[in-house]
Amino acid sequence: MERLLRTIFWGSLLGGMLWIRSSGVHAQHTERVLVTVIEASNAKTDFDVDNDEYRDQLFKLFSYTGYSQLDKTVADLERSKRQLVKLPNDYELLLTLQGEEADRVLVQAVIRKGNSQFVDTILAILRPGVVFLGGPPSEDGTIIIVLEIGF
Amino acid sequence: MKNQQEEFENQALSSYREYLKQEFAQADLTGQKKAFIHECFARESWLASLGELGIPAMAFALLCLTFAHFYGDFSVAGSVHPMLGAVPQADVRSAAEREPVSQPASAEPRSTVAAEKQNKELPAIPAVDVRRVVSHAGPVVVYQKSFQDHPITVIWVFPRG
Repeated sequence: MERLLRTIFWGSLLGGMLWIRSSGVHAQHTERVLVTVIEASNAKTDFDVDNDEYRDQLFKLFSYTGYSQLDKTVADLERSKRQLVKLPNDYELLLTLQGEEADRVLVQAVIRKGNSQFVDTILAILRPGVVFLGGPPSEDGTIIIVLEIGF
Repeated sequence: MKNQQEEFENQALSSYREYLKQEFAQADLTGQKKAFIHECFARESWLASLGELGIPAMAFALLCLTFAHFYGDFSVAGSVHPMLGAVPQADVRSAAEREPVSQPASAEPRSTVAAEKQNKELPAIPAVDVRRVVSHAGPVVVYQKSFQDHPITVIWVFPRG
């Protein structure tokens, strides 16, 4: 009886520890976001973007005549830690993983220039998800930022 | 006299042998001895061996396990570094309600026309749920369009001036 009780105690303790570990209480969750910075312009007519799948999407979504990729970077977001991505024309993109909700990833995306906030948005993204953030003016046109999560 | 003494010693030895034979032959006696030793010289209970701090520590561990089981998700929804100026989850909803997405300007690109057309294409559960969108730069348009089973969300700001 004593041996049985002891086995149950240590077994439940070990099982509990394993369960807590597997439930991710202390797990450091990261989310990888692919950030592509594109300049859309009516001054050009060429399409210079690595991912050719964007071609149809960009031409159907927007009315610019030319698109050129300025930057492509991968941001590994950690919870509550903001990642900064430099954008043209002194704009900055701040990405923050806010957590998870069911099977969605909560990401805050902020575009700012100096102290001026261009846009501040919170996105609940079902993987895989694509978001186009647009509007910041560049030298020749407009900046479009493509966020890809869960690919 | 000497013979008597030897006879007596032989008798004593044979008696002692008989006694030992009986002793080993009695299985009950061995069991009784073991029971006696277990009763009088038993090791202390494993609970008692935990000591004064062991039992409270074990109780605390069990309490923690119970909490972990029922409140396993220790994540704090919407918690962000205070420097980031994020709002709590409840405020996210209200912020979205307070600041509905602005209607696009008339001079906007054809994107909003496409947005009106593709409203029927939206899946029942949007791939990207825009919880909040705030811009001090100008009006904002949010729309979604599906491309080969990949819904794409567009957030577009029309800067003033």
